[in-house]
Amino acid sequence: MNTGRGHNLTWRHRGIALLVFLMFAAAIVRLYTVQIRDHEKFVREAAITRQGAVNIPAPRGAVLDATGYPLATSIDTWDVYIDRVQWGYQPAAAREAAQALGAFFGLNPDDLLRLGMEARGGDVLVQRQMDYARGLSLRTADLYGVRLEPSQVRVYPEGDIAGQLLGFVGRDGKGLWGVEADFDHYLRGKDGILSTERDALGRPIAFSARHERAAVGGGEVQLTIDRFVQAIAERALEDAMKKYHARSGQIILMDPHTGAVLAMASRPSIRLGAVNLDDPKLPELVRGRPITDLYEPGSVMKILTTAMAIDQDLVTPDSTYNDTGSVEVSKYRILNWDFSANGTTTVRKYLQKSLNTGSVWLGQKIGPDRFYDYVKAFGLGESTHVGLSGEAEGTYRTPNDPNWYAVDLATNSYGQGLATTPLAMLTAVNSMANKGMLMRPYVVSKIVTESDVRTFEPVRVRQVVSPQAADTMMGLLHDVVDGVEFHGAQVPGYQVAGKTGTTLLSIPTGYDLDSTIASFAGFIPAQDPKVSVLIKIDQPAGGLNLGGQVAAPVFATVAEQVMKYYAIAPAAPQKNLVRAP
Amino acid sequence: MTSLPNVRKPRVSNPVSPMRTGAATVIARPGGVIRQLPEGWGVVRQRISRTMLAGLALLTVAGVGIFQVLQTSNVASTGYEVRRLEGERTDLDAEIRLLEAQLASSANLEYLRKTASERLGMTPAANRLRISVDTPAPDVVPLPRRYVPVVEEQPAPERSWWDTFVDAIPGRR
Repeated sequence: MNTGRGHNLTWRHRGIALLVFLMFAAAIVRLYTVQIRDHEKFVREAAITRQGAVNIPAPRGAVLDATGYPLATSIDTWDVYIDRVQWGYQPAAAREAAQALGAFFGLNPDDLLRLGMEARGGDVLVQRQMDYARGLSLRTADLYGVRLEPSQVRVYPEGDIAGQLLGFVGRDGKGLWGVEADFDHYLRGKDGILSTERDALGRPIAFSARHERAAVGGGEVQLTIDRFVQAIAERALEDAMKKYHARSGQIILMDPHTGAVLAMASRPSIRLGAVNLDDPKLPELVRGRPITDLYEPGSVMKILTTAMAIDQDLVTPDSTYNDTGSVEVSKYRILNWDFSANGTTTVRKYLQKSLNTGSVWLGQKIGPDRFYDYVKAFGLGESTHVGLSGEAEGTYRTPNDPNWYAVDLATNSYGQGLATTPLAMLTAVNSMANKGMLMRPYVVSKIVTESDVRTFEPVRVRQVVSPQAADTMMGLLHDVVDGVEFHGAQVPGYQVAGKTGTTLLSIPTGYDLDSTIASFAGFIPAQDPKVSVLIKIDQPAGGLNLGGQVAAPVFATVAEQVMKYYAIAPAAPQKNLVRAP
Repeated sequence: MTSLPNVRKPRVSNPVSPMRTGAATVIARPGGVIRQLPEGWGVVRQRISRTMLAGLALLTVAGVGIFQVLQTSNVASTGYEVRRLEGERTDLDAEIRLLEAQLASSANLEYLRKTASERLGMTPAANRLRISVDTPAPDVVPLPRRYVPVVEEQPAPERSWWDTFVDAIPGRR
């Protein structure tokens, strides 16, 4: 008996079976495509979707002063973004997030929504470098499609001190100028990366493959600059600029025995916390003039000229020449700065009165070949290799140059017709306090990274003059200051050695007869110099424009404060001195 | 039923407890009947039914499964905890850097000058008094040197006999 339709399949059955078969076939074909043929492609795409990589910014290292105080350091902040893709996905949630975000930042939610819903473009930056604690509260709110990326901002706890030397960083945190740029390699560290699998909402999946390369923090760069000394120099320079209506100025303080730069002040300067990269005057403000700008040192050069002659045993402090008030060299007549004629004059007196005729006399005794050999040995024609970028090399003509004339030797002997940087000049003068040994200046004393500690030691460059000649010069320089009544560089209670300099401003067509550069280079205490100081005031106006009038008093101000800071007792007994039992 | 010679009737406190009697395992019944059972695994197999075995296997599988789930759940929650702690550490690091910067700002020379004059009413010294003492001055460290740690030289670790041996093998670079 036939109990049912049994094997009698209708066309419907066959149709359904065919349909099912086709569906299975399609599924199998699709599986083959996904699992076998395009396997690699889909694995890659899935990984891109699943894998999320987060950049872990490395904290930038600090720039420290000699006492370990941070002159520049970084603090953490947040950059707040709107994720356009997510907002485009869920407009309702985006609207809600825009309301909350607008209220948080005091912005118009509609504007935020419009920005965030625009089809084109990447994520929208809402706020850069937001305060970290504030960012945490925003993060806790967990607004839809609002992303917080960790960032950093550079801060300067001591304000704008040593601005040109420190330099600044760009928005990307890379050093653009000064120590920040020159030592960026050590300061910036190495960003880390965290790669994890993410769920559909972009949240990291806890139990998943996780690859992390930890960020390596930037190293600390310690300078030889002492913030207390730097502040003294900057304050004194600021006051001098105002008092003498000067256009610019620089003050450098060094340890003459080691070459360590204790302070390097320059005006005009930048405000580190508010650097405007679009400011056309920026190059003028950020330039580290003590190392980038060449100037004619004027009578400060007489220190070196006299040292050469003494080193060659050509003269002693008491050797004499006849000062007639002028010298004729190759048809050029060279006069003393004050047009004086002093008759029989000793080397000591020539230095005290800063007579040009005296240095011409010494220059001619030394002779051009030896003179320029000494100039080279003092390092005036080369970079000092202080370790900062942008350092200029001094320039001067030598007898080997076709356009050198005999008068060049005469003018060079009192610091005109040759140019050098303030740092190179002070470095050369320092050799007098260091037994004739030229030391290489340096501003970085230590670099500490995660893996290494580099310490920079003083570098002896060469013996330029004999120790005896240097000692003799120190005595002479002491006589120049303390042996002259009412010398502006005198510091009560301390012995000072030094020399003033005044030179006309060099311009492309010759000299600006109305503009001077007033300078003073000196040591304190003279008997055992703790610091050497170079004061350079450019184009002082208002009547006073000589080194002795403008720069020497600034030296006295700086030197006195520095002696107090270093707790160096005055050499001469003081009226109110008390001896402990 | 068989009785075995040389088999001593055991003192029965637990009538079904098996006893080892040298070569064979015996079991005592309440009636004093003793039955010899085969050695080893066969004993267990004969006593546990197939159903029980299947049940045990199922329980084992279920136990392993539950253990796996618990383990996974535990790892996941630990992962979240680790992430939370990492985030906390990052936040604390950021706070440390911020506090260091604030501390440095509080030691700013201008701030100190202002505080000294405005809050403490201090003025620059007009007269200075110098006192000479015989004690030498200490090494001046004006501020804590937190940023540049003093790195002490670490002695080189002692080489193990194995390293020495490996190094002694000829042909190694």
